[in-house]
Amino acid sequence: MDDKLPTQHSEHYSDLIAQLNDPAWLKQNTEMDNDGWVEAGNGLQPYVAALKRLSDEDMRKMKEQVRVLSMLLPVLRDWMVSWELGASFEAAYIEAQTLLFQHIQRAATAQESWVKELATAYEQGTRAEYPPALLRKRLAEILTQENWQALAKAAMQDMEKRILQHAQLPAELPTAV
Amino acid sequence: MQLPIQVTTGAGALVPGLICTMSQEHLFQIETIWRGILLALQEPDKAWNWEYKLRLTTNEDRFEAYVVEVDTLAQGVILIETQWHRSQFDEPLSSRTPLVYVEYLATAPWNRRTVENPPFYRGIGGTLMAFVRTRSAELGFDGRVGLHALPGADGFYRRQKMPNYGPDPDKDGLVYFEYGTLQL
Repeated sequence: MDDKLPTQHSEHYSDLIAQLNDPAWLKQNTEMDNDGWVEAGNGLQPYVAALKRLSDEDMRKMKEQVRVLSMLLPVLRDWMVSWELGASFEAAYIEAQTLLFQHIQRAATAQESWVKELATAYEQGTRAEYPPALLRKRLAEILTQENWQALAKAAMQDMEKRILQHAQLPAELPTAV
Repeated sequence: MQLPIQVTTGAGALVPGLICTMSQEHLFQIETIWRGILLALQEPDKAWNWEYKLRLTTNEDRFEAYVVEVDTLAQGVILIETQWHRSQFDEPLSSRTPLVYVEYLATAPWNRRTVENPPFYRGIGGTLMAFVRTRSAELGFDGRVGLHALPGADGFYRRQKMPNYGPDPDKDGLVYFEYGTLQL
C-alpha cells in the first residue's frame, strides 16, 4: 500500500495542475479577479499605497512602456540566447534589460516616435507586422556603442567571477594522505 | 520549474504564459521595471521595501517564490513560507496542522483595472493562488494555505470563498484568510 502513495499523490497533483489550463476554471478565475487588487502580506502596504497615487500621466507612460517591453523583451531574449553566452547569459541579459528599459523610459517621456509606433502596434493587435528580424534591427539601433560595451563587460565580469571562485577551493579541501 | 499555462488578456483572449520559479531575471524585473513605474512618484524607497524578502529564497529553504511570466515579463509574484506556519483553525494549539503561508502576493502595477482599463492580464493573482494550493498539496499540507489580505484586496479572497478569521491584531488588523484541505 505504501508503494501506491507516491503515485496517488502524483495523480492528485497532476489533476490540480491540469485545472490551471481548464477553460471553465480560467473563465471563473478571470471573473473573480474583478478590479485586480489581490495583494497579500503586510510588507506590501507601501507598494499598494504608491500604486493608488499614480497620476493619469504616470499611467499613460506605464502603458506605453509595458507595451513596448512586451514587444521587445522576447526578441531580445531569443537574440541573446543565440549568442551562446553559456552561464554568463543571465548577467548579460539582465544588463541588456536594464539598458533597454532606460531607453524606453527616456523615449516614452520624450514621446519619441518609435515608442509610440510599437505601443500602437501592440494596442491595435498588429504585432505580427513586426517580425523578430525587424525588431532585432530596432534593438540594434536603440542600443548605443557604450551599451554594447556594457553588455560585453557584464558577461566578462560574470565569467571572471565564476572562474576565480574556484581559485579558493583547493584551500578548503582536506589534504590528501 | 516552468509550467506552461494560459493567461487571460484584458480583452479576454488566451495567450501562452508560464508559472516559473522566480529567477534573478524576474527579481531584476520586479526591482527595476515594476519599481521604475513608481519612480515617477519620487518616493521609490519609501514605497519599495520588500525585495529583500524575495531574495531570501536564494538563502533559506523554507522560502519559495514563483512568478507568472508572459512575453518574458513577470506579471505577478508570490512568496511563500513552507515550514514555520500552522493553521489558525485547529484546536488545541498543539495539534495545529502545518500549511503554506503567503508572505507576499502581488501583481504587476499594470494588471489592475483601476490603473489600466482593461488591465494587460487578468486572473494573475488567482492563478498564483491556485498554483500555491497545488504546491501545498505536493508538500503534504493537503492544500492548506494562509495569508493576510491587504485592505481593498480582501474582496478577492471572499469571492474565492476562502474562510477568514477576521482582523489579526498582530498584523495591523489585516484580515487573515485560510484555505482548508483541498477536495477534488
